[in-house]
Amino acid sequence: MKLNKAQKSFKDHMFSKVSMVENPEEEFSNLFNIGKIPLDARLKIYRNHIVTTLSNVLVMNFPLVEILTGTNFLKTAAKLYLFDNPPTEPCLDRYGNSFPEFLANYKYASHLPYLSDIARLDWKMNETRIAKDDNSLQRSDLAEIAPEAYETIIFKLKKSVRLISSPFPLDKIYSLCGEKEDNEDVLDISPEKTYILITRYNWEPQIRNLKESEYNFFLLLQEEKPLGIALEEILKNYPEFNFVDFLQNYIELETFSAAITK
Amino acid sequence: MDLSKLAIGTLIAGAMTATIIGASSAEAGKTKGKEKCYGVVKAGKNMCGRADGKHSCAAAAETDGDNQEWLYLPTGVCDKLVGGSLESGKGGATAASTEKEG
Amino acid sequence: MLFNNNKLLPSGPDHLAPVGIGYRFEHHDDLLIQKPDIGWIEVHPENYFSGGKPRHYLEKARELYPLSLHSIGLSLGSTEEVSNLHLQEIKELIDIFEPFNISDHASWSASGNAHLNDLMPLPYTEETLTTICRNIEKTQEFFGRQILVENPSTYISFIENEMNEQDFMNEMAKRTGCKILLDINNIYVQAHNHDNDPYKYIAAINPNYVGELHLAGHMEKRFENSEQTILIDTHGDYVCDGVWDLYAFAISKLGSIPSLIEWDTDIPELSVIVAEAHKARAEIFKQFPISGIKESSST
Repeated sequence: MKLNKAQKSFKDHMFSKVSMVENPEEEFSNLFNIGKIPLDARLKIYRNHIVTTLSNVLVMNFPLVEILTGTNFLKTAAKLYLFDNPPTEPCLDRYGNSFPEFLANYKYASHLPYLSDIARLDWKMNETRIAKDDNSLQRSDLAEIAPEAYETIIFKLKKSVRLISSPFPLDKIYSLCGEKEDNEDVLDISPEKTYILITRYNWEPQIRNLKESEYNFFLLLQEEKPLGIALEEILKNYPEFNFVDFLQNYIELETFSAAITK
Repeated sequence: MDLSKLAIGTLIAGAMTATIIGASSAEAGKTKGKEKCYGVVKAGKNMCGRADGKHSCAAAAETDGDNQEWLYLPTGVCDKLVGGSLESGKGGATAASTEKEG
Repeated sequence: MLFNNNKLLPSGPDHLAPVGIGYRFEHHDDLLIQKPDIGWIEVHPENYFSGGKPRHYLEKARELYPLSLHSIGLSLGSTEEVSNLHLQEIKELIDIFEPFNISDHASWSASGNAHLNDLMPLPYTEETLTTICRNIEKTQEFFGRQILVENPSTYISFIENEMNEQDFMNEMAKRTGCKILLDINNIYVQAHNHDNDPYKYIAAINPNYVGELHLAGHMEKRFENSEQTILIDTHGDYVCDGVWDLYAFAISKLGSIPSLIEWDTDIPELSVIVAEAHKARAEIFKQFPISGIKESSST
């Protein structure tokens, strides 16, 4: 068999939803020497490694989902996910970006409508954690910009900054996930629109609530809209938006890497 | 409501000036990182990222990689959450058998 | 924040410090605090593509030790070409951390859009040689330097093999100018699983091609109702006596070569891994005593 065909066949046997390792295709099993150890036992070592490692990676990358649903539930979902979604690259920090979408359609989680959004929060926090390092814009850096260029400023967000909104109170669920297990309180999570900013501090992601206006302004900055245009747009919808506070707070919180002008 | 170009320009200029003027005192008075925590939603001990090295050239010894024939019900803290349904009619434990197959 | 090149140690281990250990996340702090008496450290570049905490620790550790980058993702044996993006991400680490060795495996991972998170086995044929040599050459050209390629642990063997693994490794090094990273534990594991002689394997390897040795623990899996066992390369235990004997034989044939202790699952205290490194170092010093220099007393 040509090498590329053998490799494709190997991949298909590793990522079949129903294990093909016990009943490999004849053409495939004919590739291998039969010794004293049966073929399926040999193939299982590869498949076990792949499946076990990837489901463990998904558990690591989705810690809030793990707390909410338990490790076994998450691992089972992870195993169903990974067969249709093998990694596309060797860096496993970045594995699982479509897992939140998978959970949204996962029938065994249909009674947990917020679960997919929590998974999105997990994923964005993961992205924050693994983002490349960059500099933080300081207030004094602004002194170097000529006043006539102010309206053209593009505030670049740091690579670790992420934004997320949800119809569910993600912040409250996040808080609950951190409480001791013997806490008996129940949490009312009636839909309540939530806007969240994720930043990195001491290497770990942190979340904080944003006002709707702040969230939308961040989105405009993320699209690299020049300051004058972004501000005009936001003030149209949120006349109460306080730009002075926004600028000072979020420079202080190290959300920007640079202020670029044309 | 429409804001004139001029008004936007004045607003930006004022904000920039205020921010720059406050810069030296704000940056000098920074006790390292303290301000950055302000407003943070409290996180629990379990949730700090486990930035483990996920990939190595060693093989896994576990042999339970293929147990997707049986399914678990959620057992985490999600049973403490109430009122979260966006759409009605989709009840709880509709799914999964909890039987473990050997 | 950027790495200060002035703090870099000499580029590789010297004759007094031939043995290194894998630097794993579990020991990120311990290594920096304890500063154990080891020659060098090794990491998988794929676990350091991200910024943040891991990079920060690697920068600190690199100020203390020479470094080897041991890749697990180039997929040198795939019929698809090595990914340019992957090469670029490793190159970035090479430029920052100046490793003395860069290595990957004689195996494959990529097929179509999928990248299997394992080191998959290859048939040892002319077609495979042509394929892997093309990818090694592309990699060496991209990095502008020689790489090392490691013999894998395997659990199956191909009927269509046209040569044995040791001849495949020699031929690969001869054609591309790459070096062989000889994993002694992998030789032991594959010899058990495919019923061949690990000593003959090592005796057949051309000593001029070997640039690094690896040591690790494995586990033995027994099948029900059978005397048969298969060895699994878990890197989760002490190096076994059989592998130590094979290692002593290897350095007697190949010389004093930088060696590495790998421990990746069930990771013990750092001191346990360091003790394994000292054991390997003692074996090298036993065979290659250096006149006038006292042997380490730490083993």
